[in-house]
Amino acid sequence: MSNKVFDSANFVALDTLPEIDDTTSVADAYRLLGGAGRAAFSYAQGGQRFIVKANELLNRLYGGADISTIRQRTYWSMGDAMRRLNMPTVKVAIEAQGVSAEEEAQPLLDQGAKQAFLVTEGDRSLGWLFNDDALLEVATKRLVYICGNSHENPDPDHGTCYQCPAKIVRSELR
Amino acid sequence: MINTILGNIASIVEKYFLFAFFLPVVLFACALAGGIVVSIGPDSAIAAVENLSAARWAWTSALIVIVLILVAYVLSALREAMTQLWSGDAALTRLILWGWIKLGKASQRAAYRRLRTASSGQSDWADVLREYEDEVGKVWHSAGKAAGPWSRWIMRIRIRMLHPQMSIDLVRKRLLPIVAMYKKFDGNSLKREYELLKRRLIDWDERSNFAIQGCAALLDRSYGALATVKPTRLGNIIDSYNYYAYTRYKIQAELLWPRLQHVIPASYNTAVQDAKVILDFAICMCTLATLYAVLALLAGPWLAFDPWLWGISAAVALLVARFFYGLSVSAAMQYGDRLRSSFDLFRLDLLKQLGFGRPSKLSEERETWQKLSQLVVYGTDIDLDIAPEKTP
Repeated sequence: MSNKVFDSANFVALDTLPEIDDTTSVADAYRLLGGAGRAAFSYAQGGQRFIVKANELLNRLYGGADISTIRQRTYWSMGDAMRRLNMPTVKVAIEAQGVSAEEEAQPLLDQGAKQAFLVTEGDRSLGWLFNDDALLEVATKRLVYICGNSHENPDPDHGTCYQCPAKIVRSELR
Repeated sequence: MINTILGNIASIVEKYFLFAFFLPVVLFACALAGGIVVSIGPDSAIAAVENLSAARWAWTSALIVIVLILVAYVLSALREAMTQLWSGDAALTRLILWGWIKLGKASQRAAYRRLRTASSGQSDWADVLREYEDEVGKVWHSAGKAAGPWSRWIMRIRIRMLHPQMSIDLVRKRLLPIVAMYKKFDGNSLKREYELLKRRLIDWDERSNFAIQGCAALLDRSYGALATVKPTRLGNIIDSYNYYAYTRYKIQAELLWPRLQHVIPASYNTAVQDAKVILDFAICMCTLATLYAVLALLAGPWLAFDPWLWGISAAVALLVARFFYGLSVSAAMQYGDRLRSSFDLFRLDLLKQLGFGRPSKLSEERETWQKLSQLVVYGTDIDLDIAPEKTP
């Protein structure tokens, strides 16, 4: 049975992941992400497009930092955050060479290297195909942000919980 | 002269001349005729018209049309002077209305400063939120007595009584008893109230930041520089769009606008001209209505001594002038927006048309415009690289 890229379970439509640019602040990016109900976002840097794992980014931004540092970091622009923390594993580059929506998915999924492919139809971009399960998981699940008092939050605001003054300590994929 | 008049008769079909100058003159003439008819009495006026022979009537009508076109033509030549008059820039206004000009400048400067302060401000609500978070953080505990419905209701009332028009200090003061509740009760029993207040403060912060941005945009659209503040709103709006091209690209807008017009596509030029028609129409109407008020007060009584008639006519004319001044202010804003976008969109085409290549950086472009402006304004001996002509 044929399994086209477009029908594959590893295909994620373009409009499901928010697109964040360099100038968006970290707090706004996570607010957008909360609205979209996803744990990954699309991000462009120097002509290259990436899929960013928001949970890993959050760990790098918030992990071990005190509340004032976290607050300060939430005002950083996404470009600044990416540059200052130098997080190569947080973002996965999308293959510059797009794949057709009508192409067979299996050979792409079987490729050894963990990759994200841009899926196109003619000149139109339709979405992405992920052969990496971890990436697929963040692109299809939502993040819940949990504070030190175990309250769940839709977004991490400026590093603190909406229901109490405790800082966000971890995130969970749901 | 005859050629020019004929040219203007031909251009009577042109929208710009027709609406911006001819229409106000016709309306002014009708108002003038109406005033005269009321002052001398309708019967005398009808009798005067009936006494005219057909040939004379025809001649008179033709003469009136020619005079109207002539006046409209003169007004079109005085366009710049009328704009300067209402901008408070004309030498005559400065001489006659010296006191008013001084007062106008002082009030416009004060308005500029107020707007500048408002636009450079920072929302304090984010700080209030952080302070609130820190204060509650110090006393938060999840052991002990849970807040009952009555305590929660009291807390909600306290939260709802806070509003963004309050001073920051008053809000801080009113937050103290709210923070004290967290000391008394288990924090988890008041988490909904905490969220209510936090979201409220976040909303106020967002709203405040939007207002600050709005003030910055208004300042940019309403004023040029503080040093060049004009005594009227219209003058300042005109100044703002002339200043825009200079602050962004170092382009002397007033000097280079006639050149830029030649590279703007016809469809876009029409949109710019449409805004200009409304602006010039409003300025022309404002001028003629003021002239009517002056004539009603100074010349009216000589025609027929009726203080009520001329007093009311002058008052109505002044109200009309005020209305059209207001219209000219909003028309100037619209025209300014189109001029600004013209510079944004087509300045590089002008640079190309002038023979200078496309700059690779904005700083390079600014330098070119600055040198070019020096050349145009002062005839400064400067050197600029001229792009080689492309061979087909």
